[in-house]
Amino acid sequence: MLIAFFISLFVLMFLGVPIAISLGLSTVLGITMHEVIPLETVPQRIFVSLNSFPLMAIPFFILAGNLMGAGSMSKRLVNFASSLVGHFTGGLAMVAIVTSMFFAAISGSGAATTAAIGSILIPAMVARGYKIEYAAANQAVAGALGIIIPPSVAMILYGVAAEVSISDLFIAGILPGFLITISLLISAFFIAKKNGYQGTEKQPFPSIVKAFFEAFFAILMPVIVLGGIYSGFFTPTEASVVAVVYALVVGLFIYRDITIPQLAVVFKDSAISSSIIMLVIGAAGLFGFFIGINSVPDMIYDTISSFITNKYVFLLVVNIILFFTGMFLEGGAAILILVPLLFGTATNLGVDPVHFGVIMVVNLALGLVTPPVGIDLFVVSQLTNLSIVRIARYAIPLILILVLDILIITYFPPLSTWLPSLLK
Amino acid sequence: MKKIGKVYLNLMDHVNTIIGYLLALSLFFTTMITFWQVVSRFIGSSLSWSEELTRFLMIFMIMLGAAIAHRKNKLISVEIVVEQLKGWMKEVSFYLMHLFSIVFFIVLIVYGMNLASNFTNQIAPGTGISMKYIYMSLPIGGGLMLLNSLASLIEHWMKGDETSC
Repeated sequence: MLIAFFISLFVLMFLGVPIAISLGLSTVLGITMHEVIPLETVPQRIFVSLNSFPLMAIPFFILAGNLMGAGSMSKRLVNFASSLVGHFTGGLAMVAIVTSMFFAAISGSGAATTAAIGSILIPAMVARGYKIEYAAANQAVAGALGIIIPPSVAMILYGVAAEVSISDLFIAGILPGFLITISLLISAFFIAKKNGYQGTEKQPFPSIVKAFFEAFFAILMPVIVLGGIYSGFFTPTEASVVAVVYALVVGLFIYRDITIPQLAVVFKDSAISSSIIMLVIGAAGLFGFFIGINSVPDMIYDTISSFITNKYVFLLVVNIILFFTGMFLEGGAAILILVPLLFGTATNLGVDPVHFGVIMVVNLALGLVTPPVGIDLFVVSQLTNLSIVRIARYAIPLILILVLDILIITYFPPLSTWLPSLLK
Repeated sequence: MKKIGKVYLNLMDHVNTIIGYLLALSLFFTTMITFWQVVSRFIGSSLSWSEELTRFLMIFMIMLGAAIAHRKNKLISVEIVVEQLKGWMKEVSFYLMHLFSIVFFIVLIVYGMNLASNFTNQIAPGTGISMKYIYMSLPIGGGLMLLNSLASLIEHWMKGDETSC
């Protein structure tokens, strides 16, 4: 019966049936073959998985990110970052990375970060003589920071699926996020040196101050959101709604660059983007329930532990599974499907639940830039009208750096677990 | 036959426009209510109904939003195999995709209605709304997704007809 269930799931998914519907329909098939459970369980489990207050942070963070993109906040952040690091060799590539880090500290989504920053910086980089393929690849990889640097939609999904504290995950993501940012900055420097990409003119101190004040309210936003969460002032959901209201107030009354008709569109689009992710959450809840009552996670544990007893070997296997999953599956969907399958085995082998979450999230961030299916690659390919294959070739060195980062994050757990333990 | 198709597509466009407004409004209200909840927590008078109401609004928003996303083919799916297909194989996969989706929507509608009617006597503790109406979000969403699946099928069929003429 379980075999029929998994086969139907794969057939449906590869037929192009939306993942949420594939998960739902194969569970319907599984349940009909299982005499005990009534089919009313299907809508009920979907309802139960969605009826959760922590999940509401997802639409709010998506909305906050879109509001920032609609106004001039992203442009102001770019200007400020340019004044700081623009004059280094490979300066603009570094600006793309640093601004993406800032933007990611508010939006929580890789595609949103890539679109908002890339649309400004890729043309600017090309104008400064950067090869357009490299500019696109650099932006795609920098955008992946969106799901590593907290707040992160992917971490909320993991936290809900694995029942791990979302605040802890957010704190755990900080150092790995910095590690990846710094390694990307170093790579930008060497690539620029090799290709002769010069920096912009060094800005005098007063104009750095000016750029800082112009971007002040945008820089303050992550401070409020993350500071609020880390100090225990806000729950992640509360922080997300504060971020929305803050972005609204700044956009409407301080910078005055968002119009009311624009707002209606932003709200509608954000609601649709949220629904797309959250329908998968509902269906994955149903899927998780079904494989749970059929003891699939136990079977996986029994199978794996019969030949892997060392958690480090297991984590290597997990990294490989995640790498290939990330190539084909959207990150959020991958987390929701894989957490119920692998989480039990990971904790049984002694992997820290928060550390495991960080490993999953950074791997799926890598999935954003690995072809054939990588959302960040799609976004930059739309921005530049270049084919994904051409961009991907320039992304390979950057992908290798991310792989190295992932191995460091995997085999050096304190990077993820030290900060959360400190703040307890 | 074509005329009916056109009327139907037109009708669904209007339905989806209305859903779009409802989506924007429900996200706006969930924002406002949740923000008010945060503020009131700091003032010291916690609200008992706000969290529950926002959760219910969100579930309706998800089901309605999914319907629009399905019409625009934006639900997350694995497209890599289907994109490689050509000619009649591509056609078949398109129809199968919608057919399987519709089967699931029917399950959602039928068993969602059953589920809702099981909860006729249960009242949500914070807002006092009958849980029956809250559970109706699933069959309503399933119904709208089904209607949108039909719209996509009709649109595809009408386009196919034009090119073959």
